[in-house]
Amino acid sequence: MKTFKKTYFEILFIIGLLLSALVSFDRGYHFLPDFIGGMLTSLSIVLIVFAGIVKHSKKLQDKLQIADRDERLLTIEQKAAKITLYAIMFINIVCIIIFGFLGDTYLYMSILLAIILFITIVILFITKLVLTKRM
Amino acid sequence: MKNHLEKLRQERGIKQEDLAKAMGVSRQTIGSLENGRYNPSILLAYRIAYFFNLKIEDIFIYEEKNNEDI
Repeated sequence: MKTFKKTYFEILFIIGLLLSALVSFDRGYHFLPDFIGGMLTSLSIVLIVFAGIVKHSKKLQDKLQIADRDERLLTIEQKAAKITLYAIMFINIVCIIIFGFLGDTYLYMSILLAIILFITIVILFITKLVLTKRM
Repeated sequence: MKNHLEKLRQERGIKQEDLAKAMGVSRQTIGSLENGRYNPSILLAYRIAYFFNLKIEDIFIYEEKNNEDI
């Protein structure tokens, strides 16, 4: 099972630095579209600030570590994720049926949703199979 | 599953925060355990029993009925 590690935030900090270097490089050569450049700038600032705060705050690290290992919170997360997955699948099925009635205009949307539903079911099946063999 | 966790903790003058820290869980989890809203895993039950220097069955009482895991 995944456990909280200080290195996660060190990796985030490095990614933030790399992104900021990329953005700085882009200032000179303009190879990124303006929207992407702006998005990467804000993302790099958020990553550097967030990872920097966590890296230097022992209190916050302890809090995150407990939140990451607390079995009750993990159980709640698992149950919430399961309910959310089945809710999304149900909504997906309802949308496929509704789009099916709306004619040719929405045919591709209906097919796309059906593909997403199929992929979700395949991933769910494979994940269950792998976990069943591991446990 | 019922338990004597709150009674034991109070008898020994331990705060929920301190017990939570020792067990590596949140204070809310200790609160939920004490209220009987959450049943611990076997590992956490062992850690709690070890902390109080007791057996698991001295702290947690298994009941056939109402055996929900949360």
